[in-house]
Amino acid sequence: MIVEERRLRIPSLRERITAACDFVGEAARRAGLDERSVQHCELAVDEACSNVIEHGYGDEGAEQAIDIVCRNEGSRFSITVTDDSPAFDPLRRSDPNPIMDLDEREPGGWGIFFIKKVMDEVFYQYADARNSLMMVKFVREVPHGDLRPQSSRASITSPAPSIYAIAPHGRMDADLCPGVDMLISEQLSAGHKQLIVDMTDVEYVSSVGLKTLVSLWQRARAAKGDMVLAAVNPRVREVLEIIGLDMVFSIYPTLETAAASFASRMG
Amino acid sequence: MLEIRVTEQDGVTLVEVIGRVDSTNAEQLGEALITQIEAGHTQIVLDLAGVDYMSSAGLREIVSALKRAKRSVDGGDVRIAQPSYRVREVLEMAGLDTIIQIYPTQVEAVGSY
Repeated sequence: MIVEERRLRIPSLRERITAACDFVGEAARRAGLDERSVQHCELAVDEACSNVIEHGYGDEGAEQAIDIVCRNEGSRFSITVTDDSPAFDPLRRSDPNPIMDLDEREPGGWGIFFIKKVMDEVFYQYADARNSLMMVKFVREVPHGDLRPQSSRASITSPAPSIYAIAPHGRMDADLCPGVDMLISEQLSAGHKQLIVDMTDVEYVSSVGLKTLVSLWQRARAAKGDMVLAAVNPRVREVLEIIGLDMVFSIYPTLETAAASFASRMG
Repeated sequence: MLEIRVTEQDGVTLVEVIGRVDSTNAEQLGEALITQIEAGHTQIVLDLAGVDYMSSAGLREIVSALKRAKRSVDGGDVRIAQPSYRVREVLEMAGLDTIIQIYPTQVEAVGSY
């Protein structure tokens, strides 16, 4: 395995953060990450450096340095941000709550939360009197925005940023449903809550299938997201209508219109 | 470099931003918004069509301005127009899509007041 490593040292100055973003962006692109993941890496290093400058060194730390190391290990791309400020583990800080009202909301405090959300793994270490935050993005064989790892029974695509479509293949029955449930649950726990079930290849939905769809819909709604259906064939639609689920689920003729519905309902 | 243009349209203050909003320049955005609010221009549309990147520093300024606008005597607001997918993702991560009104076009955002 070939490991490529690139290093950059910047002074602890806010105006140098853009240079850190550019450096990481270029390294991430060279590691084969798709544009969306590249942007996530830039956001992560931006937030990490901002935190060190504002809270670690304080705004007077211009003579201090921040070291940034990018490592490309083939399947993993890591960014490590190291500084000499007092020991502080940002990962122990509790996460802010995205469903807070405006009144109870502090304007700031989102940086570390964003890092945890956009990166696949984050580690903190205090060693040799230095803080190190390592942020990892997995390099997927297929671009993150197009296709995620596939199973033969169901596939996941991302028709638009932050919108994920799960397409079960075949009969949605007791055999297929646990897999579909697992795939969607993974999306929900990853914070992906705008979900489409692409029914193009679903020729039949059993009672277990209906139960699975309702349960996933409820969980998506509980997470302040939604789950909609696309491309439901007439036979399946009839079943949904008989038990009134066509009034519960939003159903769109195609994957594209379903994806567009999420965009238009913002605001 | 951040470019900020302020125009009044149909009694609404339109703040158009072009560039990357990060911790090196987010304060400029915050100052531009606060200046308007303090001058009594509290019905604000923040047009983010020209912003391809925003870090939490930008959100912090928007939330501060939103709080200021809502507290003002005439009950103002800060509404967002046409955020890019990437900015929208950041807004959503912080749950701001539920507390800030977001419109797909500038016309709709201005017309919402």
